[in-house]
Amino acid sequence: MRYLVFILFSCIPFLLFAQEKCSLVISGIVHDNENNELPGATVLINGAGTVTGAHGEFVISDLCPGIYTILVQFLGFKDYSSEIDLVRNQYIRVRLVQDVTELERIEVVGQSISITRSNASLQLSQDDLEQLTGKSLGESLKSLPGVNALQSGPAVFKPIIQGLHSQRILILNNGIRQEGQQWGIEHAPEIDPFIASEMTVVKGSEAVRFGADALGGVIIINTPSLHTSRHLQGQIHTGYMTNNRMGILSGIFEGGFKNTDKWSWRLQGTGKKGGDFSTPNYVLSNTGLEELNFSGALGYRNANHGIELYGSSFNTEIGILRAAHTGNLDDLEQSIQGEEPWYIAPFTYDINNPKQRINHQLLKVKAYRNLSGLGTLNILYGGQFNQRREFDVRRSGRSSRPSLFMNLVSNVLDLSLDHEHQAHSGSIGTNFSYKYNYNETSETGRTPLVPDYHQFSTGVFIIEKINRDRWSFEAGGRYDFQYLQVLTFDKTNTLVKPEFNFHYVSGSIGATYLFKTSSRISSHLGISSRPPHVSELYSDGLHHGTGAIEEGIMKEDGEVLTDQSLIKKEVSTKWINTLQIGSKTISADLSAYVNSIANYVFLRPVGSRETISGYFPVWKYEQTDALLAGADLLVSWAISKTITASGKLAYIYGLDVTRNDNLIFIPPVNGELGLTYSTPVVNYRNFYFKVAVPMVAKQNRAPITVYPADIPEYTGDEVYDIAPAPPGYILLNAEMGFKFPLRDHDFSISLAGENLTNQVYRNYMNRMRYFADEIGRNFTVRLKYSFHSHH
Amino acid sequence: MNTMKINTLDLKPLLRFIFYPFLFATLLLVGCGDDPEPINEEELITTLNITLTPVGGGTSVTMTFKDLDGIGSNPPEYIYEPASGNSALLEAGKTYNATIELLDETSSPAEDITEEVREEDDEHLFCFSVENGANLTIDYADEDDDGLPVGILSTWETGASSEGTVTIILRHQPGTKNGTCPGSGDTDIEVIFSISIQ
Repeated sequence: MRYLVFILFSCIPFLLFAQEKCSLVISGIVHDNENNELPGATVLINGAGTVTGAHGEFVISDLCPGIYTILVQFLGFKDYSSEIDLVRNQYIRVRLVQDVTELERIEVVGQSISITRSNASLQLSQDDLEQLTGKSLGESLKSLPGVNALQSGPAVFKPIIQGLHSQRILILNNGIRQEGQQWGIEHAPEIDPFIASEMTVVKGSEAVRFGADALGGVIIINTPSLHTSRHLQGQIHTGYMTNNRMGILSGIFEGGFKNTDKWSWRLQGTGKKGGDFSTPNYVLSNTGLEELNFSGALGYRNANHGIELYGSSFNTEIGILRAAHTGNLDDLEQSIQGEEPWYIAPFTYDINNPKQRINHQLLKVKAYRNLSGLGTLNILYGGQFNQRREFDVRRSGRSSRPSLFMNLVSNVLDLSLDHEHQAHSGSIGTNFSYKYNYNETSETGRTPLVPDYHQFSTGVFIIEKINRDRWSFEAGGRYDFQYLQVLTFDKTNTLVKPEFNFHYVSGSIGATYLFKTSSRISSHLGISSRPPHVSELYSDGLHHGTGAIEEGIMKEDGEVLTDQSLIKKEVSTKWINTLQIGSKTISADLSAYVNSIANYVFLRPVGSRETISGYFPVWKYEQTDALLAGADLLVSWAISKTITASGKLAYIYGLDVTRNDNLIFIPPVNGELGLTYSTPVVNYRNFYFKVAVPMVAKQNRAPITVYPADIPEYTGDEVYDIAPAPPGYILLNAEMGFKFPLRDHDFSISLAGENLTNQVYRNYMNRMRYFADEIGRNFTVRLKYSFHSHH
Repeated sequence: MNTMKINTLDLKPLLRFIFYPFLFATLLLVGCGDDPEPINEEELITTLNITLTPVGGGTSVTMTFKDLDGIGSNPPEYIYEPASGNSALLEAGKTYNATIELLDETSSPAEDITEEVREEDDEHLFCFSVENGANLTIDYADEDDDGLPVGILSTWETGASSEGTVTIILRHQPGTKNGTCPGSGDTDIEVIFSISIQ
């Protein structure tokens, strides 16, 4: 018997120890119930992990004698867990049973891995997420190459995937599309990252499966599947960040019921409270935040069908840097010319205006049933209620009233029939969604920026994958229909209700070749289209988040246009190629892409407008042809059994082809070098120390600079920025942590330091850069405690 | 084929279980989908009037900035009485008592916004700057409870014949007002009047 062994370690390598007596080996093979070998399955022994090789084989060596828990996981299969009393080398055969109850994973990760395998994707594992405890969703995802964030201050992170964001990115929150208000660049996703056991970013278009919002990629937030065990178990995370004196507490508890093993439950909650952040030289006044989130799940399953009920509540209040809130262009000019923000006060936990308050409630029901000969039928319903309030500095006691108050109610129903065979697999399905957005204008006393609307959409899709030896090919197609009714007012304050019917199609093809080693190469071509969002069509008014008057495609000097022929669908054609290499010492993931977008919606400056408050810039939504191209690289090299070097690099080129102009807010070249020392995991004990050096270059392809004072005279056609791109910077981060067990309880403690050199710098991707520096040195202490009872 | 049929039948309660909440929620939503009411922009200031009353008799001067559609695309209007071309006509070597009045003329009757500013005079400050050659001095003639100027009332002293502009800015400075112009805070109003001193 010859086994090729490839041990792929995740970002924190749990390399195995070489003590004198600890030289035992557990090896084995993982296959399914039809005796097919399963390459790529995760094998964990007391937390130390490896991945099975091309023939489902694995080896874990250098183990001390003792009792180990072995856990084998593979997408679409039930977890296998067993205790081994290790006294001599052992060979085990693991048979995984297909798990239709793991609907989440089949439906979601399953798509990116088994159905559209050729698409490029990257994961944040549980361990990665633990090291990011306390950070927001957008900030956590930023650690993946090719994923960046558009920031509005130190606490608002909006994810960007390979240059695209907002309406072009879909977030799947526990299997359901997140229906928040992503139209504003200062709107962050309304999700508590603590609910996730894993996050996946799919970088190519997944519009075939998920519809238009997935044109630029998908962020998949996976919650752990409900346990079958009746035992109570749970985790408590606590953390403290020194920079903004933020405390974090999060807990998760799960278990079953006494007389049945078919039902299980989980409860989870998170609380966060932080004050003002600080740069090395001054306090960023009014950047405090607080958050309180809950979620709960109840599931039932038996051999052939199952149902799960899930509810979550996300509630946050975030202060906006006081000095970033400006009135007219003269104010803006003054604010950006100053070396320091014009308002600096001593540290406080108080959050004053301007601020955002966001509440997001979700209720989900999902069910599946195995239909013999047909596959698995999945049904998913989700209802969501999103409320967004923005508070400004106002006159006459109106500051306690929001100046923007939008409610978005949405209902989503997804049906799909998935089948999985040796030679082919695939899915057909349909989606329905109804959204109703309304402004509470009686509360705000202000004309809303984005009008009320009703939107109904539906789509049908088919995806099929064929496996041939080391090749797999896949293709998919989708048709969508959207009905949109907008409720807006014309110049004479008369209600106008324009209606639209959009029909659009998407398609993708892809191929993957698996090498004999655990390496593969994939190519994926996706064509996706989307009609512009209501905010892009009918925005009209002063956007306080940007200090500019924004006018939609279908608004002209306050007049409401209703002619549908003025609206062009945005069509993206993205070709993405991925090379993944896995060997004993090196693992690498390289993806390169070209994305040509016809009728790309963007904001073009069209002049300025004189009002009683002075001059304001006017930006109009227009459509052009754009090109995005780039490459992302992630490399990890195990230098020795305890030392691993890692590197990340992302480059992106953006061009407005029609107008031969630069695109705004395209991330500059950025990368990171890291070095990790890690002791082996023995009986769950492990120590690691890690140094990372993030590097960001200056954006040399930034739009031209027109300072606010010059905007009234600016007559050019080029997109401008109000300040030049800041210079590049290099930071220093370090982290250490250890894990130790105490009977049935496991503890892990870590200490992380960011920006250790207290570097003064500004980040091109942060809109706060016009007014203030980035945050200075920050230390984070994290403590995790997990327990499981045995009765 | 038989098994399939059975499965389809078994599915019905399941489907019902899923569809009912959906249907229920959808019905709820349709119920609350009323048409929106036209918005009465509450904080709108459409009009700034400044009235100059000469000390010791003479002709009063009024300057008006009017923009009835707020941030809408219609350009604002400047009205001068008496006027000299596109400027307000002021007498040389004269002292005027100036009073600012702010109105929202989209409500009927017009709403007096000056009152709101007066009530919060500890966080508001009018700033005046005389530019482009006008021979004119402006002094505050009122103060808030902290003894800091407000500028609703001011004194304008003209010099020799000249032409130029006066910029009137209303700064909103909750918690940070210290009487200096422009100081910290936001600009609520910024208008530029042309004047001719003869």
